[in-house]
Amino acid sequence: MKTITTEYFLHPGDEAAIQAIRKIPGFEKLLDYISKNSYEKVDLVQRTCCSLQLTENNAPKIIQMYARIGKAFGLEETPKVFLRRSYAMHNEVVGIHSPCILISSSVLASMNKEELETFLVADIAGFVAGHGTYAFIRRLISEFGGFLPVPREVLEIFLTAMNAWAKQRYYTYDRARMLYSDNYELVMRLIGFGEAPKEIMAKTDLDARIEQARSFSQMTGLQSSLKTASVLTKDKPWNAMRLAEMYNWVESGIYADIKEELQ
Amino acid sequence: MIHYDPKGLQAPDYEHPADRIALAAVKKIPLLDTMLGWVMDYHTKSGDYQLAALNDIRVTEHTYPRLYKLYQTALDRLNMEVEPKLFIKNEFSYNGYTTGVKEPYIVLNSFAVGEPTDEEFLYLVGHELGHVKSGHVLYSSMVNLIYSFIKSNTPIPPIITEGVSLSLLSWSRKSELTADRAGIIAAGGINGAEQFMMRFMGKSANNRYVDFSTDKITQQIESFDDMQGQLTNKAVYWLLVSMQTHPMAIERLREAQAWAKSSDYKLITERFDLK
Repeated sequence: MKTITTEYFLHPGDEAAIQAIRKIPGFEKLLDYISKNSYEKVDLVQRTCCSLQLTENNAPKIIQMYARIGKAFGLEETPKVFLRRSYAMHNEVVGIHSPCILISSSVLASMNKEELETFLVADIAGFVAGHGTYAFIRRLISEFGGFLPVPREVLEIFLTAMNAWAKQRYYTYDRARMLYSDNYELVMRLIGFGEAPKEIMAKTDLDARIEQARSFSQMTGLQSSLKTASVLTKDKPWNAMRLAEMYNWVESGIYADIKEELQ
Repeated sequence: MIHYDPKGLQAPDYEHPADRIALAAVKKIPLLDTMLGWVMDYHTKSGDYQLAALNDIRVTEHTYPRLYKLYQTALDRLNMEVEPKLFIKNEFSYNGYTTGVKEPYIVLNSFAVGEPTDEEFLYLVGHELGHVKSGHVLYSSMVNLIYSFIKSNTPIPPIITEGVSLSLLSWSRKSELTADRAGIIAAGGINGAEQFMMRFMGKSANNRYVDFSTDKITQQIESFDDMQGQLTNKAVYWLLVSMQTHPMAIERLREAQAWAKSSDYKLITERFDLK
């Protein structure tokens, strides 16, 4: 199979946001330089001191998973991986130049091998897609925005725009997972991880959830506006939105065409 | 029930030298004795103990027989002069605390005693007993009180308040290293301490993908040591830790391992028959 490059899995909204940054001459390089010489140094020290580093020595299965995923997405060297004690059902990739992956302990405790490997695709896909740059901008605005000589309202508008991008990236992750695993049921199930304990999620009917997602995506008028407003300040879309996006992507035939092209 | 032996283990036998030096520096803070009096009075009259007694479950041979038995082991190994009341609080974190000056008591979170093994529990409760044995409780109460006071709106210039904070917090971090040593003694070895500290670094139940054997963390400790040898990284580390009451997990692990391998530890275990 060919390398899964960003053109195949980047969600259009995500891609547009990333291209907007890349059009500013030198901006991405500047951010890379600042990140490399500030936050990444601090983060690496903090991780080394507080989180268990996962290596071929103590977590070979995970490192090998990342190696396989990296190969599929054209990444030669996988980032450093650290374990962080957390109840959150998501990982974090921190940094632009030399990123670190922070795996949540809850993710490792909840998933079998197949689920985990597909889940971890998001970490590599996000890095390859250049999400680190956007995440860094968000971090800078959140931490230092208050010191800028701009009204708070302007900052809020900017942060809302950043959150809009942040939501798009989940659609990118889901597409990347689908291309890597070619397992529709698994990817849809992973979208629901964290909604309820695994034993309960296993009993839910996927078709019923897809039907729920479809009716959600077909909302019009006031309901549609409320749907948009409800996630305006959030950096993650509702799971129903993700299910609907994945459903449409597969049902429209776009996925099948891409899959054929990658063979 | 305690069986204190005046010729048995005493706190200076295992205290971290940096703790002793830092505490001596803390005692030089002006008006400390006056404030100590206030703190002792406050704790005597405070409702903290009553709250623990009402809300949390006291460890007895009837409520938590396994933990009670282990607690007695820790009391014996540390040759405690007093038996602090031990409570379990319904809380989801690997944590606990010791407070109370005239009548110290220990509160451990339910999460911290549910998953960990017997050795880990002995380390945890021994760590807290170590604070009692070394007289840290009074000074750590002072740290909390002074820190809250100087962080509020006071007319004292920041350069003084920050200086005092840094000094107190520096001592606090050293005292934790002493308490870790007490935990190692209570657990009868390093294993309980190592495994409990790994929990701070991400270890959890049901994790089939990671080998948490501590021999596999040696490389990370070496990376930490290499980092400390570089000025920039050392400065970053100091900035990260300077306002913390506890050292970072990797430093605690390194210090604990170094001490457990030392001749001092060997002498203590042989002299007081602690194996």
